[in-house]
Amino acid sequence: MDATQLLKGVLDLAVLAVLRDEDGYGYDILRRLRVAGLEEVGDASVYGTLRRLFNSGLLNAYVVPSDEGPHRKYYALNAAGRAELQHSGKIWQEFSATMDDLLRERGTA
Amino acid sequence: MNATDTDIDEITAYVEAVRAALAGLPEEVREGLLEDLPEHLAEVVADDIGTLADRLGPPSVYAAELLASAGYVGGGFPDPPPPPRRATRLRRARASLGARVRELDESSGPLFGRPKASDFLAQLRPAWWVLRGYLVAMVLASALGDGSQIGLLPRVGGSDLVALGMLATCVLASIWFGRRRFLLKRPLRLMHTVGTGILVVVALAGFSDADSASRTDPYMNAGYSDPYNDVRDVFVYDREGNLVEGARLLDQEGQPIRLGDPNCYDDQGSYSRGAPESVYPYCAENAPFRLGNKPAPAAPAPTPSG
Repeated sequence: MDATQLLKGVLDLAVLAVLRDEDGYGYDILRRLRVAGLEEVGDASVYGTLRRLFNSGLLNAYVVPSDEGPHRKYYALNAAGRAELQHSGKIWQEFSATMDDLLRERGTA
Repeated sequence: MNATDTDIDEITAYVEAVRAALAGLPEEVREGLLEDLPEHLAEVVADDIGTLADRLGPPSVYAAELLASAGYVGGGFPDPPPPPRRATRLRRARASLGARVRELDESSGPLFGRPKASDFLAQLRPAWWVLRGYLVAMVLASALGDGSQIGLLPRVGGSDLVALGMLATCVLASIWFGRRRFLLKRPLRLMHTVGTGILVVVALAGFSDADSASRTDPYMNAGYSDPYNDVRDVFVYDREGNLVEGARLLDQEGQPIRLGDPNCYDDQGSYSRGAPESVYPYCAENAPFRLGNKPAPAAPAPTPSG
């Protein structure tokens, strides 16, 4: 199994999670995901996911001008985004607990 | 961290290549996707490790990944639901009603010994075809006929044979049609449903008339069939054929039997008081079978024959 396959299903949740405590811009979010351990996450995937979450109304965006570099579009969770994070997070936790149990049973059998 | 001209050229070239790879998308969607890409890539370039293509792969692969993650291909969160329009709300109401009906259908199935009540109803379908044929015949007959009240047979012109022939034809036609109704196209099917509704309403109205008519009949018959209704006076004759006056009629309980009208009217219609009630005849002068033309005598008249 390939972690990138699994990642496709949960990248939304991962992006929402890294935005929970602190707003971020695209490349920053990618870096945070990689630091957190999702090293296989692709730049295009994060960029595309941000566009989609924003279009779905789960994120707010604001631009911060920068003197030395390009201006940056920061993304922030809004109320809908937080609700989605909580909802999807719960689903993920139940799912992963089930998988853990399943693997443990098979392992001991 | 300032972007150099070379960086900008590289970014522009990369974005153009991605744009070309996304040429299949509607322009609006494509530009929406690429809107922030130059700024984003500038951050990547600022990290300064190799070229964009080294770090991100070929633009076509980048475009495919972008497309997949942005939700135009593949999964992800659905778009937020649009604000419910009237039609949507109607559809939702219909769906929830449909769900409730299905629930009822399944929960009432055991009553009929089937998983679903509709299974049982489906078995009754041929019976409905026969009934429908009958109803069509009845409605046709009442439309073609003289508009008299609906009965039990589809009579046109009062002939049993025509009625039975018409009944048989309509029932057979209805069965034939019932077995082929699935061939109907949508608008025809709608017309069929509406027609069935009208048929049922007309037939119900007709039969409710017929029912109330048949319920009120016995009373009317009782009124007209009383054989003593027209009796105004009672004349008793003895064995010899002589009129008995002052006769009393009693029933088995000894109760006087009251019949007729104790008042007398002569030929001119003038009124005179007759005998007391329940003593007959009230008006002896009106007796039939009087001998001769003289008024009935108080004493028995001599009989002509021995």
